[in-house]
Amino acid sequence: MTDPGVDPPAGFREFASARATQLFRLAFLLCNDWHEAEDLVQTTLTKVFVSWGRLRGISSADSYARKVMLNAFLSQRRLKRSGELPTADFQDLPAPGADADLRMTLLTALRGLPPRTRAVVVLRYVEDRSVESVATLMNATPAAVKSLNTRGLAQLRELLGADQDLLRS
Amino acid sequence: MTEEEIAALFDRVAQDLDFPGIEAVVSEAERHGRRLRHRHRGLIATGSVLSVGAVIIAVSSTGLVAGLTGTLGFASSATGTSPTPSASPPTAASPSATPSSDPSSSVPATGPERPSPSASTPRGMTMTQILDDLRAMLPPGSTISDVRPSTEGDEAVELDYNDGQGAVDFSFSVEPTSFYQRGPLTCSQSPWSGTTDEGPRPAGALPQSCVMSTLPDGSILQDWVTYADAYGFYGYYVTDQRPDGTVVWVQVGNGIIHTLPQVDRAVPPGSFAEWNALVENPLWHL
Repeated sequence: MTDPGVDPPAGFREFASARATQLFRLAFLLCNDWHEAEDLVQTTLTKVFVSWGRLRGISSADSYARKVMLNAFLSQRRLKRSGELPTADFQDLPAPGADADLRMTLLTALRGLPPRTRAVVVLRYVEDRSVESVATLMNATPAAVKSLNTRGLAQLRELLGADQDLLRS
Repeated sequence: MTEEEIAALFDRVAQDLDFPGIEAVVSEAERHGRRLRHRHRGLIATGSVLSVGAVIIAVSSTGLVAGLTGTLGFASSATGTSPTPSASPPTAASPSATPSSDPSSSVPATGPERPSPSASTPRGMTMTQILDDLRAMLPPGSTISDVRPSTEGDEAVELDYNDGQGAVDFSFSVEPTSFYQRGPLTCSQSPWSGTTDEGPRPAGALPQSCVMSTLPDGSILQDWVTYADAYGFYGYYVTDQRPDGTVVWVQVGNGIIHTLPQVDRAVPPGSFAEWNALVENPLWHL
């Protein structure tokens, strides 16, 4: 018998290494903080590790990882009750790249969305998930997801405002 | 700005986000995860419960109750549809209650005679033995599928069971561990102790709870309603720690989690009365 206390469960490291960047992108867009995103990925992968024995197949692990991450993110937000007002100060942004302005603009706008709305928008447009899939991940009805998505898009358009020309460039 | 433009925008931004710390984060997640798993296993070894992943059988409520009633001598009043943590056989104690710390002072067994364990027996019942006996106890018409080796050892079985009302995960194990080495079960030393829900519990779900009781033969019975995971999956976790060193536990979930999750029951099937009777059955031996 393999002792999970000694050996990593078979396949976990491959899964984690292959998915970490994807999970990090999702985490970063959710929380807009580099270090918090790292913590979120680590928390998520830790829980996936613990549950690895009962997660059969990559799709099951993928889905579980996102569910864990979303719950962790949303519960953190509930605990912090931060309000998360939009701000131009991003102290934890990664080094500027070619799309640095674009990223700054989008992250500023995203930060203006309430956490659940932000989660819906990110899952829909970063992960390209269906309304039904997002609803499952968020323990919400498809109607609720549609509603959050519609509101989120409207808010995003409003928050992006004059920067929309930059975004189209 | 159209929906497609917003999607393309997200795509550009996401693709530009590199994550140079992958290896460190994965290693740390492994290390922390290993510690958590180790903690679970360590607590199992000292007389507590175990993680959700061990043995899984799908069981449904009423059919199982009928079957168990016939086979295990359950009270016919058990309905199996509204399990209560303080269900009948043992005298329920509060979650913080601690059973007698001196097993030698326990009242002698008054129930069916149990086979004496051999001190040199390295393992408990094999998976095949457990499966055969479980099959005999489950109600006619129920099905067992996806039988698989347990990640927790040869003493445990994992499978899905379905009586037509939907499959749930069900775990079962018979372990040969010294009663005196383990120390008595307590709610506070269980891995479930202090856990909080990772996701919302289904509407109508039972709250987390732990009930301890001591049986006339000195066995310690622990009935847990566990925390809910990210999918709202939770379960009953029932452990019978016998004075002879045998530890029998069963875990029954409110859905399937080991494959693509399907958590569609507010409460797991059966009642604590039935699951207590299952683990107390003298059939289980070292």
